[in-house]
Amino acid sequence: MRYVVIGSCIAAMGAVEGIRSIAQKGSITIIDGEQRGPYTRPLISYFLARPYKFKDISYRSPEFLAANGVEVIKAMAGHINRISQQVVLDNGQTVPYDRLLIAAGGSPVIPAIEGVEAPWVKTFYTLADAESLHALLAEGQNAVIIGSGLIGMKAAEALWQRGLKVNIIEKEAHILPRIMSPDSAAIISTLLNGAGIKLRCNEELTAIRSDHQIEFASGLCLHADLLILALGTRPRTELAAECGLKVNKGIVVDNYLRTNDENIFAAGDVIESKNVLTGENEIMALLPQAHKEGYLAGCNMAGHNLADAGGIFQNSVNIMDSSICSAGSLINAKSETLIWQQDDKYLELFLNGSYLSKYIAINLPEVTGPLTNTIEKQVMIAPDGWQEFIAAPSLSTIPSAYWHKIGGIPRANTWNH
Amino acid sequence: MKVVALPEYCLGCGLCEIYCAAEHDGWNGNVLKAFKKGKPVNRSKLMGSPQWSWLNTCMHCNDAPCVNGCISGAMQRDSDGTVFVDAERCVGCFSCVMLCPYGHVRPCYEKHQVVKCDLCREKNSIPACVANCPNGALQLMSEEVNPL
Repeated sequence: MRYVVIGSCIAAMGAVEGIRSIAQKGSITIIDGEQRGPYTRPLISYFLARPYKFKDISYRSPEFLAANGVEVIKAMAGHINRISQQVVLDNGQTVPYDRLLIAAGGSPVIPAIEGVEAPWVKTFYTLADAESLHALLAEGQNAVIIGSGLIGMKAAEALWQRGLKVNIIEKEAHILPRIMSPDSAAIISTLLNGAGIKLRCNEELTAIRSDHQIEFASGLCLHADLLILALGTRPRTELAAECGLKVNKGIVVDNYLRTNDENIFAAGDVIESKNVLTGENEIMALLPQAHKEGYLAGCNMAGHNLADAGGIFQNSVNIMDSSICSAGSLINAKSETLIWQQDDKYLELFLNGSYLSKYIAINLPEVTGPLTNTIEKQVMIAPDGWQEFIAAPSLSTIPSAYWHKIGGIPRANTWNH
Repeated sequence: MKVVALPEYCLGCGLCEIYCAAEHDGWNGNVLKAFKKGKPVNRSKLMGSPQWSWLNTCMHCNDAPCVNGCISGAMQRDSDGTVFVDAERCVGCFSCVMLCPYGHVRPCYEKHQVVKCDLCREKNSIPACVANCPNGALQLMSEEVNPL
């Protein structure tokens, strides 16, 4: 059996682990278009902030690849021939497969405006992006970051740590619009402002001029030595679409991560995943999900039939030494919200009757594991349980219905009664 | 393998936390030295209220969400099935904290890292918490666990 994987990131490594959990035989070939080996994308901001400390941001080691008998081909996949079951590389070489996994990931969204090709205009998605920024930046420069999602925020933090003057521009009404509520975003905004990072919301980029002036719809004009486009990513579906695989917003797969070709699977940021809260297929682009999908796809490529139940949005990130954790979705505009705040800690719960649908936690990561799982597994907890929890959120005040659900603890001890 | 807490026998004395802390970070189980000279960090945490208590320890899940969601590759499983975190690689993003159904993986703010039970894998004998529980409220078991 010849297993071939297009892509070398998280889903690809998950697939290697999945395949080898079942099949010790068979060759595994990874087509590494970025030619950088399996590295971990979220750590590019750590590299940019401290390039000497984070020289090596590999996700799995060369020893891991060797131990699992993985051959890595450093080349771009150009075309999939489904009839001859071959991947044709850009260099003309062909790689035959019995089972193929497309784990091609995403690519940054680049707006269709003039000036995006200028050498001082960058995206922040690959290690190569981070390296080119590292080579380009100089202390005291003015950096403008378009987009305040996780990529934009981590780029901003890294550039700030390198001594640049940083401006973050957001099109929506507050920063981290997909994760945060207005109130929680205000806490992070205050933190960033306090560090000297300037934020501007409700501003839409309209022009990038060759004299380093950036124009916005409101008439605002900013000078930028460096401009970072952090407008999100989209799945790299071209290879799949071109060979006739079903593609919607992302590659369409069944519950077993299989495309409409029975020998071709897809996983990670390139596919549409099921959001278990909404039942909708969405582009989720989350690292834990990419690894899980890759793993299950690998198992299924090796002959198992393991269904993927889908997932929920979940993120944990540290910005300026503050921890932000969030999971779930706002599935009902009329959700009840419960808020707790103390010093620099903040917790916001969004309830739909007896179900938690989303939370936002600032500087309170220690309670979030059970909360994430309450959402993902839709554990029913009576609203008064949440009322008690929010009065003093800690692991010990997590509603007991949750602990019962995951293993029956805690029970009362016998000696104290 | 995993350490299972039996709340009906737990006295809430906290010796598990003390021996856990002293077993890690190079203190080699020397409680006196660890607590006099340093700030030892316990991995497992005693939970509860005056009415009940239990040690929140790692289930070393088969399909461990913390390993699955680790962004740096620091959270790993060794050949014995023990889930442990490689401190060299942990960047303290707390993804594993956010994903652990048991609330077991905890942030260690001072080190910008996370800590969790590693079954005292460097000690080569039964975990310190089990060995030092005075009332048999902690047992080492081999039963497999899947989260939820």
